[in-house]
Amino acid sequence: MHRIPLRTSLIYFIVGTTGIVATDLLLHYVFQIDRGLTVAIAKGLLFVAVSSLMLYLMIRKNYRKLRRSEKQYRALFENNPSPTWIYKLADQRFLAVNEAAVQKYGYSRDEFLSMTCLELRPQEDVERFLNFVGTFHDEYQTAGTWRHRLNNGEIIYVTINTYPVDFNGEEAALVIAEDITKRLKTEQEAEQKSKKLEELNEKLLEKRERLRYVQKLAKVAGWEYYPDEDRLVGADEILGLFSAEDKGSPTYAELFEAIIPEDLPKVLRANKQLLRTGQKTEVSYRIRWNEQLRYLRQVGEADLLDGVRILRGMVQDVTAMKNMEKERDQAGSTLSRTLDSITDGVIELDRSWRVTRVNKAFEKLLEIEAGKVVGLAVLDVFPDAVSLKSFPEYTNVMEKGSVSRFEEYYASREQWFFVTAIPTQEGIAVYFKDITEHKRNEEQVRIWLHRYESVAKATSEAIFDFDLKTMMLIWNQGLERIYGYGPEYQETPLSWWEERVHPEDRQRASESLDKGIRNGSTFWSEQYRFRCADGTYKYVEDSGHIIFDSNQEAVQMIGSLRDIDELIKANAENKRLAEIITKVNNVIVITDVEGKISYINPRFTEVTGYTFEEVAGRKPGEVLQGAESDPQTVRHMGEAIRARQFFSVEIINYTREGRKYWMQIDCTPIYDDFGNHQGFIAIQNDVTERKEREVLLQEHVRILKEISWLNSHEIRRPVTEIMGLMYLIKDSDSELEKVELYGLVNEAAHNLDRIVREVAMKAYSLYGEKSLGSTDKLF
Amino acid sequence: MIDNLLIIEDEEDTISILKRLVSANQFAKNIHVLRNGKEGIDYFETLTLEKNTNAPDLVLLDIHMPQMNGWDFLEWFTIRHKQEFPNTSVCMITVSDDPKYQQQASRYSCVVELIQKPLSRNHLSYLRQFQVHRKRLY
Repeated sequence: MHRIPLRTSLIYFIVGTTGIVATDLLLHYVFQIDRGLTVAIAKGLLFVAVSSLMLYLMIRKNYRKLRRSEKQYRALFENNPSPTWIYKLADQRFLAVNEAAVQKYGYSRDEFLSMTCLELRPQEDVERFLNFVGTFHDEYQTAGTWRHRLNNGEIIYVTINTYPVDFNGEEAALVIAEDITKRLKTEQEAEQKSKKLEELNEKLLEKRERLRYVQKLAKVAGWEYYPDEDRLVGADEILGLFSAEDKGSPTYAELFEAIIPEDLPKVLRANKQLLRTGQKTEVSYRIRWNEQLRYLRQVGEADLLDGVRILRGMVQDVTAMKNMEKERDQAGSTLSRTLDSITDGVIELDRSWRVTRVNKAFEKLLEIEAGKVVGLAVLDVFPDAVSLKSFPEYTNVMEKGSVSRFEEYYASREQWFFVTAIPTQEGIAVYFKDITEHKRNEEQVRIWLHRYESVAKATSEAIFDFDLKTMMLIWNQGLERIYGYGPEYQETPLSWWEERVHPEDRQRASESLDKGIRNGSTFWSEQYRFRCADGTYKYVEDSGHIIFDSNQEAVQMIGSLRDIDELIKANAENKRLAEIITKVNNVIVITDVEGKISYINPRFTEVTGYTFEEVAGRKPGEVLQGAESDPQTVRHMGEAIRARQFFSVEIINYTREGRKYWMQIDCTPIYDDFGNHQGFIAIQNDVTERKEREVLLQEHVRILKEISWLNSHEIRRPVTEIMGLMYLIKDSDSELEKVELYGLVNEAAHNLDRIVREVAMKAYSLYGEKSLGSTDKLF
Repeated sequence: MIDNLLIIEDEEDTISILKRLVSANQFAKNIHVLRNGKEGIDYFETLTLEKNTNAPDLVLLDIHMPQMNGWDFLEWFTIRHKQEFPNTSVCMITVSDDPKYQQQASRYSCVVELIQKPLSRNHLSYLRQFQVHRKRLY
């Protein structure tokens, strides 16, 4: 190939040389123009030679360029990543294919070169191709999308770019195919997807529409709030909840303003919490819209959507529910008011034995507060309920749903209740009626009846049943046994009784009975003499219990006529003794076991000034002792009393007015017939005078002592002085001194005289005024 | 004749008679007179302080005195005399003839005698003799 420039140059050189030589020779030989043949030929040959060389060089240069570009072109062709080939336009035979085509289509290069373009496509596309080739013109063009078949039979879609080339001098076309199968597929899929999406969307819209209806029915509206933008989505839905007219979408602020001011804080609080913690919150509030009050329940949760904070939730219009609740509450409160006004205590329990309600009466009855028990398990509130006899009853009512009525005694409260347990929808309701009083009465009656029966058999009593309406007395056998009245007297009018009361006692007894019945007391008792069948009188104690009907009217008296004749007679002796006791000069105090005064005789009052009422139940010591009562004596008395021993003391006591007096007390423990200690009897003597005398005596002794001291000291002093002086005189030789000493003796004698007088005076001053009988004896 | 005689006595008349008697019988060289027990205590306290060796040889101590009587003085003196005034003897003098006094006086070792007033020459000579004996003894 690279010989082409040389060849071209050589051809030119040969042609040029031949031309030059021929023409020069022709000129020389034909036309005989001789201007130097040799030179002319040489000049011509040189020109040709030179120009040939130049031509060679030029051509070679161009050719090299061409070759380089061809190389580039081939490389472009060969290395093109898209399948590329060249075919002959005339017969559509492949002239060249690149590596990418071999790879893509699966034919080897040789197979390609033996094929035509027609074989590359499905049969139905051949006509279109031939048409295209027919209209093929000399410029680059995009031929659109074609279907090609690969060696393995797979059909691919390619877009074709083609332009005409001259391939080794033949009209050919270069084709660059780009496989767009995948892209196409993706596109198709995308299209399908979008189609589906559309369908879905449509469905969604439909659903949303449906949701709207549902929401409207349920009065629920969804909302989304973007706090960063302060944007509320779904406000229209919220509005739609309670407003039929379409006013457009209200803003968050507008909705907010409609919230009832009292509820605003809790909404804010909930929202704040929602914003802060992101936790689900629920808040109920009221909103006023178009003069209408609506109750809204709002549930919200926080979310992040593409990094944007978002609160979403739903709002439910619960106005209707609230109204119903209100109505229910009203009905409920009416019910509970009714319940509260029931005087029976009512407690309601649910099936899990929890207290659901108690009424006011129950609170009062059991002294508990409803607030403290409602919601608690009943056994936590009344732990001792298990031990109740009636406990199984409650279980029965709860389980079998039957009504149960019974009485129950609550020992811990000392109360009787009539209990009605009724099954309710929720559990049971128990009605408590406090029948303690009633029970007590019943018990009382029972006790009395029992007594009546037992007493009937007793020895010393005649039992009667006195009908206050008919004024008839019914007696038991006691009347015969004790008082000698036979069976014919089993029923007697009151007058029969009156006739048999001793005339002296009759009026008193009758009046007392009348009074007893009339003044509403339940017990009456009187003592009188009652005439027996044999005409003798017996002392009796008549006592009876008066029974009232529901109108508080006395209707009956059950009583006994007790024979106390012997007692009274025995008492007569006692009475005599008692009389003595009351009349003696001794102060008598009787105390009970505890040392408290149970009896004093009149003398006690005379001496101390205290009446029985003032000292009854007090200890004698605390009443009578005072500042000067000797503590040691008091102690001694206390010890003796504790040891239940006799004691005799003398002690200073004080009267009511505070006057001091001396008491000599002999105190003896007393015992009953069975040896039981009953207390003390203290016989006391007022020994004030004796004591005073004693004190005086002591005083006398003291004075005597004083006088004897005076005698020994005051009087002896001048005496010793005189004696001393006399010794001096005796010893003195000096007359002068003796005279002096005599003078002193004289002085001392006078002194003595004065002192003796003084002593006498003192003695008189001490005793002179006092009228003591014993004074003479003292001196 | 003793050197120092201390008389504790409240009666002026008795004192003057005592003084006369003492000087008439030449019983003591120096006579010091105090009026009650309290003064007696002060006197002896002063002696102790001044380290005066001229402690009385004999104290004539009356019983009934104002402020502090003879017994109370003795209570105090008994504690001190053995240590500080071993050469001082006490003779109690009283007008009383109460036998209890004798008993009581005998409890104090420093007391040599209890003499019922009035004091006579014989008493003094007895005391003088006692003093002589005493000096010999100790």
